[in-house]
Amino acid sequence: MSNNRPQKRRPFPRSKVCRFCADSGLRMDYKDPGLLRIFITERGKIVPRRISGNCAKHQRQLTTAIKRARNIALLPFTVPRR
Amino acid sequence: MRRYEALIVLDPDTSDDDVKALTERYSGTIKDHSGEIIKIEDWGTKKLAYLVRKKDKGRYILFDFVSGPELINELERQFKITEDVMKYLSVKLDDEVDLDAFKAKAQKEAVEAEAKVAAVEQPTTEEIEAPKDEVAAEEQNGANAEDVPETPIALSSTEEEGE
Repeated sequence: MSNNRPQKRRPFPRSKVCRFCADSGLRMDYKDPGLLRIFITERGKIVPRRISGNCAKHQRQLTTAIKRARNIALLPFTVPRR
Repeated sequence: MRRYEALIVLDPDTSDDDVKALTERYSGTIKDHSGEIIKIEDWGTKKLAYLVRKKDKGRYILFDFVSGPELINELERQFKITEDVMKYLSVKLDDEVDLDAFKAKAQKEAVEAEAKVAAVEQPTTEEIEAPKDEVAAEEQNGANAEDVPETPIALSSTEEEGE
């Protein structure tokens, strides 16, 4: 059994550059669920920084925005499995 | 004075008259507390991300205003006791807004917007005439159009010869 060894790295869909840093015109806003939807999974979870590639500052702003949007029913808390 | 934003979700079954009455009531409350309304947006009925009071739709109304912090207490108290308000969220956008400066800026922007509209209108009249000439010119050159693709090929062949 060679399960312990990391032989094959799974392809990881990640972007290295923070989108909000790259495009300064892009504003984080809880009123824009279309933009925020990019940063949540199908089940409604917030995509971690290591995958989305956001910088710490913008990830913080993003979580706040997503949580506000959830509160006002613009984004789901969870997407229940059928 | 601080700048706030309050987003409320109304029951989708609320009639337009009631929505209007509610908006007026809340804007009245804002004004009573010496607040200044910047804008009120009606987003219309949207689908909710999850059920609220067993309903999957809601009418979103956004208030953008400048006021002191006491108003938020009063406004949220009113949101709570109103049956039609299903959800509400108030957010502070900015500390320390100078109301006079803000008004002056808004006025300036309005003037600039008007100037832009005027500026846009003038070139359009010129543009309408300009393309017509171009089209006419292209039609005249239509007979020569077959020659055009040949020239790049000739150029590339000469480059190859040079190398």
